Amino acid sequence: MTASYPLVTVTVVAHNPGAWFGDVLRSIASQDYPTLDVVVIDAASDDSVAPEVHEILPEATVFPLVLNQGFAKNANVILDHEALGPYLLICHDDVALAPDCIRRLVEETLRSNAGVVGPKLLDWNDPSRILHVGLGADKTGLVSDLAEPGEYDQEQHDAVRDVFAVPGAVTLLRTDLFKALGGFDEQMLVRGEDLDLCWRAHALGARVIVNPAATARHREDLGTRIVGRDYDRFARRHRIRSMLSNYGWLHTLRVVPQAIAASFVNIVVALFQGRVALIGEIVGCWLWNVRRLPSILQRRRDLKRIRQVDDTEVRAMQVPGFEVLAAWRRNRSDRREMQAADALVETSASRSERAQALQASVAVWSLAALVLVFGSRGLISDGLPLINEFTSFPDGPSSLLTEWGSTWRSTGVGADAPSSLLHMLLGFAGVALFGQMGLVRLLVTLGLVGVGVVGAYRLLTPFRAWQAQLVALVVYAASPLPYNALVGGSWSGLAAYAAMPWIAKRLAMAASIAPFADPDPTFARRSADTAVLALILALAALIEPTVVLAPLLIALGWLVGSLATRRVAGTGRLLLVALASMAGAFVLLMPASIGLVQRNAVWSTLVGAAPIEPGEYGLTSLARLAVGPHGGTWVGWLQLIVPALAIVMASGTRLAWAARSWVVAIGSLAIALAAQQGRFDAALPSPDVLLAPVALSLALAAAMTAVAFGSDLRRYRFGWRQLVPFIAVGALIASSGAGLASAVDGRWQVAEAGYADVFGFLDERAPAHDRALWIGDEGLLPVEAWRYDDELAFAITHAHTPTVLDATIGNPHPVVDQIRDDVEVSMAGASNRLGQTLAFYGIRYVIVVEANAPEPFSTIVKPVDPVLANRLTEQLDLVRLEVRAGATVYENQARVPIVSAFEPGALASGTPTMTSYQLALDEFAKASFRSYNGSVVPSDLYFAVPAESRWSLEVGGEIVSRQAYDWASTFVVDSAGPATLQHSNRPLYWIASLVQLAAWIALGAVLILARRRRS
Amino acid sequence: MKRVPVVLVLVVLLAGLLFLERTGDRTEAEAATIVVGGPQAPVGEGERSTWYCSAGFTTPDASNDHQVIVTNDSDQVASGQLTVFPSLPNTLGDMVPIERAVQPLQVAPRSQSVVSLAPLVSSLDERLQLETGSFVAALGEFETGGVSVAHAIVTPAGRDAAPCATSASNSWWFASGTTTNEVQYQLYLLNPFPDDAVVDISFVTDGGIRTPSRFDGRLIPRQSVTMLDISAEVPVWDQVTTEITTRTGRVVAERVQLFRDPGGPIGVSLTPGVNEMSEQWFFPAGGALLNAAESYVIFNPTDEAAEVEFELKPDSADRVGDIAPFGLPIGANERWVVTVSRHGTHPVSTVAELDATNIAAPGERYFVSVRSFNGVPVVAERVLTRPIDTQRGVATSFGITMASTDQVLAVPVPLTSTAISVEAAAQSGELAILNPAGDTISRVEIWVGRDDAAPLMREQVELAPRRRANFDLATLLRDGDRWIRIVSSTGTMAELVIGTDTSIVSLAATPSVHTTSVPDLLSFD
Repeated sequence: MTASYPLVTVTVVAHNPGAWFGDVLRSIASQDYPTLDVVVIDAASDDSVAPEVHEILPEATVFPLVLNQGFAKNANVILDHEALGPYLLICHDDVALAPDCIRRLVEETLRSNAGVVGPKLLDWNDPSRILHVGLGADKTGLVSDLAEPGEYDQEQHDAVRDVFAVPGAVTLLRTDLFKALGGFDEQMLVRGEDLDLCWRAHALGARVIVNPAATARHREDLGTRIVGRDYDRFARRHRIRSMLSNYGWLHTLRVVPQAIAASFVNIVVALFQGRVALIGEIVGCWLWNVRRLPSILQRRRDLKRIRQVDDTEVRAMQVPGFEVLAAWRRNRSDRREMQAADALVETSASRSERAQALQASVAVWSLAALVLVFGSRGLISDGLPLINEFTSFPDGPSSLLTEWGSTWRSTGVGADAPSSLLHMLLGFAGVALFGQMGLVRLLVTLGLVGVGVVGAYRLLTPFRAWQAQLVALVVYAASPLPYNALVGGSWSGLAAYAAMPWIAKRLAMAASIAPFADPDPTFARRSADTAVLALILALAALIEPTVVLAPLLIALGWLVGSLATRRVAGTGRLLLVALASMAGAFVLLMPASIGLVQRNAVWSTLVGAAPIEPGEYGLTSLARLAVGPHGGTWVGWLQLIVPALAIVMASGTRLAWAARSWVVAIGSLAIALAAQQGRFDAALPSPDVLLAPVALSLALAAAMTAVAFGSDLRRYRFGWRQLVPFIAVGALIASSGAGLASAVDGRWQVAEAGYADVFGFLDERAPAHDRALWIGDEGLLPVEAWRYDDELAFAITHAHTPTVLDATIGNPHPVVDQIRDDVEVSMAGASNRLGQTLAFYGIRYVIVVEANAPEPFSTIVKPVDPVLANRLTEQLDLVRLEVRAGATVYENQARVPIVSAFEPGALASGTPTMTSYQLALDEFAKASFRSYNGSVVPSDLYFAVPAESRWSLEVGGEIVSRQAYDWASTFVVDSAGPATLQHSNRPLYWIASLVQLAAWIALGAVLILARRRRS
Repeated sequence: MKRVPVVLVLVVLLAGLLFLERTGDRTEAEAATIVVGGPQAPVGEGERSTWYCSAGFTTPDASNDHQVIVTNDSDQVASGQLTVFPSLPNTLGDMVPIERAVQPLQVAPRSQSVVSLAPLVSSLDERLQLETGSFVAALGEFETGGVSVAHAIVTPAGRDAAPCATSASNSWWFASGTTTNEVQYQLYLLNPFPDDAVVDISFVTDGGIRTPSRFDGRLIPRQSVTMLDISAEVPVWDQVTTEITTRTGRVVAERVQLFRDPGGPIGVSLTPGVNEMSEQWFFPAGGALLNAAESYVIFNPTDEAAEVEFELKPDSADRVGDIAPFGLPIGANERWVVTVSRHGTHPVSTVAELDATNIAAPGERYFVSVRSFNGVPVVAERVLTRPIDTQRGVATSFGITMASTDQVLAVPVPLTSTAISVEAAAQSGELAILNPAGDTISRVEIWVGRDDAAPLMREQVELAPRRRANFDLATLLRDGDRWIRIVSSTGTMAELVIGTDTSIVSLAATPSVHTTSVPDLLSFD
């Protein structure tokens, strides 16, 4: 009888087990399997487990260990046991096997010819709940339970099935397989050793199955008793080790980069969640494996020697995609289900209301999303053209990250200036999207519209009126503003549109204005809201700096509106919060923001280089938000109807908010109108930025109308007001056409092609050191620019198709001002050798832009002053190149590459001739833009651009005195020798960077604390 | 009732918004000032300047020469360079550009330098040593201010001088021109820029508009000068008006006319074209030469009819009263000629001519203004000829559109260096200065410069509104004087006319400071 049952060596790894251990041993003793050999490995328990073992299992063997070296290494001790049976059952010291567990496992092993079998693990205290029924894993080794933990056992998982791994709490496996695999990976103290064992078993062609008919109760605390708080860290590092060990080279090369990218995403998410420790943990786990690379390589060789199954088959057993994403989706759905469960306590009336709200929300959101996607289909399929601010992105994220990591700004004539966080964010976004920068560009652009629409919806959340939320959504989404910004190629306008609702909401929350007031407002809570507002401002300011001023504008408007309605509670804090958030944003953006308050700061750095002279839009256009092709018809006026109804319909808080909204709207309109009339001596931002508060206010006021219909209308006697809802609904639907009508077009009338093709020749023809001078209206130039005169703007970039690296130009370097002066001299007719003048600065091309896109795609044309155009054609050393109309390109015949050599004395005389020539580029490439090492020859001039005192030249250890040569620093060398030319950063930037770092850490801390308090 | 304050606040704000809108409209309604320019834009102190001297012809023996006259009125050395653009005609008559040459140039403070291009050009290339000669243009570029550049052509038939242009253009006009037998009309188009230019040239004759196919889409190669023989393409008219427009690029246009008819006027005229139309043209030195025929050619290049008034204001007007102006309805692309004095061979159109020979007494001095009253700009040019039986000479010059408080005139040195002295020239020459303003007295000082010497103020005068002063060169100039500088408290216009036995030279002053625009000039009404 017993001969038909193969011997099973039961191996229990115990370490300081608790009172339950007797139950564990008794469950083994009560097995109905006749041939068992029980071995208990005592992993250096404080009190030996032998007495208790022998009391219940007198024939059991106890292996006492001197040290507890982790479950894997402890369990591998069984390989030294002399009388191993053909099967091993390895289990923890906190599992109680059902009496038939081992028998059923062995029977299934024989029936299925499996190598590894696991039982269904149930909760120790509540066996009706399932803990595990086998494990799945994705390509990176991240495990997932095949049953939901805590799920009630209703026999729903009671089918034998192949799994990728079985939990190590109870594992039955063939002894020869265990030996062939060399046991558990002893580098894995705990967590992940079971996955690794099963993974390698798959590679050997062994089946890994779970037999739910066999059950065991599990306490799940062995791992925590062994390694304590490092439990998750062990799981993460062991997962990476398994991935690196168990794939062949081909799949290693495919999967590991994806795993690295996933870790990057994880780091970015953790960064925003303020989980700094997690970032360190992720990095540490990779480094842990790097340090153990030799052992990993050894394990790879071991597996290769015995491998029977190709990786493709192994991967077929894995969960497709990334488990972390699947888990996130599951968590989201769990949260919704929990909310739904809470809703069960609601009354039937509220359930009906909730269902109605859900249906309406789904319908409106779906429709809005459909319209936005449908209206953008041309942009999605053909890509976003290069127009105005919509510059191209670099081919990969590395350029952006490099730019972020450097304090050398290559735009203009080069400057020692801090980088922008925008480059970092876009760089990491590029990494997250696997270098698809075009996709990043499209998502950022269209995403800003979506962010604004979602913001408008979320803004109304405190009013607890889904109708108001949906009305705000519709009005804001139907505003012509974002679509005009798209046509104008204005990321600034889109950023303002996206940020405005979020700014308004946080401002109201931080100031605790009803109904945004927290039921229990505390200083910490308000600080957190202010910090979030500062964060929003900082992010928006990366694209449009003037958005930082929005809280002040809104606060002032709300203050006046509050006074008019005598609802002033909380308004006193408005200005305080606005100023604090602005200051916070300033600090968060340091050291770049310091440029705005420096002595050489120019206004155009903050507001852009829009014309000071009167613009083309009057009040009728601005009031309809028609600062472009959208909204200019009579339909545009309909946008004002629903918001206006709030003034006559609403009362109480609704009226107060309607009044506040209208004050902000009228105030913003007045500023935009005055700017268009040229009433300010200084330029203001473009109208689509100035009108963003108007669009927001209209949406907010319209939402108040919707709330009033539910709250206030019933208090009026039957009369004309009862007809208003019908009018409002009609106006709402009709006014949607103001912005959304051109969805039919498929690209919101955005030009079908931009300047990418026109300026493509720059990338092919111009060496990296050539520069281009751009002149034109700020709203047309495909680069960020400084002010040239009251009408025009100008920019200097490297001669290439403009990219986002040319954005965030900062204050103009004095040399830039000098270039502008030189251009002005020529444009005044005093010189016809502009090319020769510009040659000093390495400018090879002068590009005049007069349309937002090349013909025949241009939709906005603003010719430059004919005098300027004529003067350029009269330059004796500028050759006009044939490009498509819209831009005029002149090539400088007198150009001198930035990296040049001159005839002796040529530069000293101040008149470099055309005898200069370009140095071999690869020689130059050895030096960075910030330093040079090499030998020098006496009497040579060594230039360092730009001219500033931070350059130094040492020859033979001696410092050479610096002289100013117009646009560059000059060093005249008296003796030959090894030289080092280098540029040192300003101490101010280092200090500011530290302050910025501290600010971001403080922000994270505030947000974490606030979240904890909330939870 | 809580709604009332809200409504009131919003109404007030809306009212403010509307007020802003209305006041803004008025701001935008303000008209921009029209400022005139022209081929001789003013050159400020301390600024660099570029000068285009388009027309010239040289032969190796220098019997035909193109001379560039650089006057440095400043206290510092004027350094710059002269770029010479030679061209040779091929057998088909087309121009073949020869490689241009650059010559550094330095002019001492307060001195004048005359660069003769004939020897320079013949040394450049073997092909340029042919006796048939070559067409030569020059480009002067100076790093410092205080420089004015004129040029002169010297031919066996006579000589003439004119200021060099300071700007190129895509439109040029010559109101007058003669293509009768024995008169050679040469049109010089200089393209100093690195791009090719393509021009269209049309002509208004008494027989209508002519557009020779040879001048339709004519290529003017980059960095070269092209001479077009108009006489051969548009024969045979007493008055031919020329209009040049570019399809691409910009050019500088000048005209040379060689009058060789033994029975008619003999002489040479060098005339820079005009590149801007104007509603007002002034000719300060009217009636300067006895026995000279004088006519004014007014051309309307636009597509609208111009209501033009021709006014001749004699110096005796204070005593005998003003002469009523003539009204001239000049249709689109039409030309009128007003003849103030004539002789039998004076080239005058027989169509659209106004005979005004009886309005000014013989020997009367006057200035002439040509004004368009309906806002349609025109161009106006004066033609001076002398009959062969008295003295020779031909001069054509455009009116002045720009008044200045600081003007410089180079005394035509070629006259002093070869045929006659300044004193001799001064026997039949005068400097006319006009105060065109309607209500402002101008105090005028006339300074004369000579090489290596401080300038001397020779005359000082106050000019009443719309009055001119006439200075006899015999008393104004001495041997060795090189240039005249006119400094005035308000904008004035100056013109020099010199008549010798063989030549007439008519030269407008080059403004140093541009002060007065067309609306200001019209304000005297």
